[in-house]
Amino acid sequence: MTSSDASIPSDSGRWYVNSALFQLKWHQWEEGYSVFHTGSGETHTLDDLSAQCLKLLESSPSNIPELSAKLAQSLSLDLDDDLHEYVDKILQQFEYLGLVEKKRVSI
Amino acid sequence: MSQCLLIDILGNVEKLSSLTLSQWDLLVRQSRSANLLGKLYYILIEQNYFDRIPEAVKKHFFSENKYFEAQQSSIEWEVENLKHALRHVDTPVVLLKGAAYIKAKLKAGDGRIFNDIDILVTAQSIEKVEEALKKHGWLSTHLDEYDQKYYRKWMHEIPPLKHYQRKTVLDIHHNILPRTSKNTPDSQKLIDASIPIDETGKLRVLSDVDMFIHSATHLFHEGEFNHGLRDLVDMEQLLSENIRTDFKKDLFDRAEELGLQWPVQYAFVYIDKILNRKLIGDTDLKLKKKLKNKRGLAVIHWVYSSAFMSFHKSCAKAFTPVALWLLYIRGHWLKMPLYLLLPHLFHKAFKKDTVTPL
Amino acid sequence: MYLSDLSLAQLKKELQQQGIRLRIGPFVVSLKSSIASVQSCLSLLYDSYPLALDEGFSDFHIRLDTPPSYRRFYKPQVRFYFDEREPFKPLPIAHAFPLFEWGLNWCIAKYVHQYLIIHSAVLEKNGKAIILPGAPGAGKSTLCAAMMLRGWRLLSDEMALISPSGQRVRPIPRPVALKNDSIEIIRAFDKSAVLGPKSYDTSKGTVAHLRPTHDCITRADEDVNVRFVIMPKYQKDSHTKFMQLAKPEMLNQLIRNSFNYNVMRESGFDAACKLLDQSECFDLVYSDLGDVIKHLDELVMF
Repeated sequence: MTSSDASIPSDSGRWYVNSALFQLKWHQWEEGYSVFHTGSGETHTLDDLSAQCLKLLESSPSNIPELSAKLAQSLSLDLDDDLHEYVDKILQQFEYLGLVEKKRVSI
Repeated sequence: MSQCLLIDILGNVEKLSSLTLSQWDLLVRQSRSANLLGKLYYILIEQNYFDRIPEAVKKHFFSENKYFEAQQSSIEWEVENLKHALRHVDTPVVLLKGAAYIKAKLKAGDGRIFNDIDILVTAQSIEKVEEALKKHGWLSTHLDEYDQKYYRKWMHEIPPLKHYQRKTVLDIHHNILPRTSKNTPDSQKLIDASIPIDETGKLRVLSDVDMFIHSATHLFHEGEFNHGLRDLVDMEQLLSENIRTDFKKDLFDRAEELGLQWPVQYAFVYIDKILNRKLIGDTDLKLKKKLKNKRGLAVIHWVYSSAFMSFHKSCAKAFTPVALWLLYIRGHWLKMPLYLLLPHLFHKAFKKDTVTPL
Repeated sequence: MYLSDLSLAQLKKELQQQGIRLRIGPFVVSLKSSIASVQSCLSLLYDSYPLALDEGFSDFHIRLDTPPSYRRFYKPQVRFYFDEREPFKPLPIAHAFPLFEWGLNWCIAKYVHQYLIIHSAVLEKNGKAIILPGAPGAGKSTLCAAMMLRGWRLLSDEMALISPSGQRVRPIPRPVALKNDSIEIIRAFDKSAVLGPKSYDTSKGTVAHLRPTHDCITRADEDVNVRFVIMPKYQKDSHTKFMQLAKPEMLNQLIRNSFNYNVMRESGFDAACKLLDQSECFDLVYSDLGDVIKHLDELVMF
């Protein structure tokens, strides 16, 4: 998977854990998390922050502002530009790894 | 029981209950060679027999099934990626053979091990399909200029594409037989009759009769028989799943419409002969008459029977290499007229072997 | 009955005709060969292995032979047959026994999926197993051989067969493949070491095989709990040093070194995680075999 769908403006799509057919299997360590994606068969290492991002998306799809807000609340972080930027970048990385995808919101 | 234990068992499943350990040894080896070990596992489960087989034997079936399940997961993922890559190209994506059986949850897909994914798209969309796939990481495999020309000009598929990261191979067809064949069917008919298997309707499989016709056509046009028995078992399973009363009639009507009667007839003959079924009934007078009048039937039977049993040394008959060579030549002859065939065979014979060591 | 119960002449005859059936760890291997070096290496290195006499089922059918052609006389080759099919290209006949060993490794890696298989050495002492995943050139085989000669039970020098629960490892003791300098290092380390002949100019350099100690074979049915996963690295003139390794990092190493993680998938992930949950993980740097083994002895003492 390379770039996100060009026809969806970046703030109108929701990010989903990819997808209905596949699941994430988690394992927690002292030093972070490992996650196995049943679709790709790949295993990834995540630190606490990125793992929390992915877990939040797993429980409900969100766009960037929503996800940043949930992340800030759950880990008692400041909801600022740095956090938005972090979430944006981490989602792009997750997409590249095939862990998440973006879909147009249907109203 | 005969030497060809696997064929014996496929024809008479109840014989499984009386096998000795050395017979299990031979059966596992023959099945593995025929690429049927995975399917045999499902047959054992269906017959409620798996728990009764010797412990020493169980682990081989277990391992093969683990491999099959991994492949199944890999197919699901690959198809998702394919859908995503081709979402803006104006063509349905019709899965063929193994991938189709698995995605459509057919019995023929249970335990079926295969390597590449085959898809059928419209002839007009081929270029856009290839372009879209290349943007998503699929690369062309046959880089030799001759091979590229061979595929694009004469065949019913473009050179296989391989994903640079996942290493999976994709065969893209725009028909089920080469352009150069005498009987190239109208592929749009196949696409029009295809059945959707996802909510968007983009992902499809051939209709039940077309699926059988495709399998038969592919098998009896091929020059290489290493999967011959497996393909025959596929077809038998497709038939046994299709129990609607009109199926046989619809099948032969459709075969006639597509100009592909003889592969279907051959499929029936050899499913009956090799797998001990009774597909050709007393009411199939037309077919029986045709077969009776066919010249050289004994030779044809010898050639094909040898080919279907060639998957393991213990089953191979005398002169099997001759039979296989005849089919190899015929396979090519069916694909292209003589004026193209001879230079092609010449080129293949003298091309440097580029197989890399393991 | 054991291989050593057959005289060399009898062994040669059987290998040439109906073949022998050898029990190697959890597998029964049916073996045929008319090649003299294969026959004599089997006689030397597999002497304590039991023969499978009664059962009619073999897990693998292997044959090593010279092709019947002009090649028999000019630069003769050895061919490896797995149930009469050739998965590899032929090799020079001088590499016949190493080809048997590599070929058997291939059979296991390709067809055995009731375990998660990691490319590593596995040894046990005091009921505790250490898995040593193998970076090539890190000196794993030398360390493994030395540990075995100092009383550790060898479960394997090449592959850890990990149960789906992740807790136990199944033995598959085989001759230890030593390369280049390690051959003489081990010979000097222990005069009682029994080594097969050297094969020169293989793809891995010069190769010779060390016979497993008797204990390893007699206890080949005893699986054991894993307690340590250690990545060893020989570094000239260094002191023995253990450095704790983070488990997510060790998981990546196990996956990278696995033969069949892509087949095991989720069950492989589960097994590897559970294995690491119950184990301590280290990077290990050493230069002195005697010293590092002393430290490893202490590790499993309590």
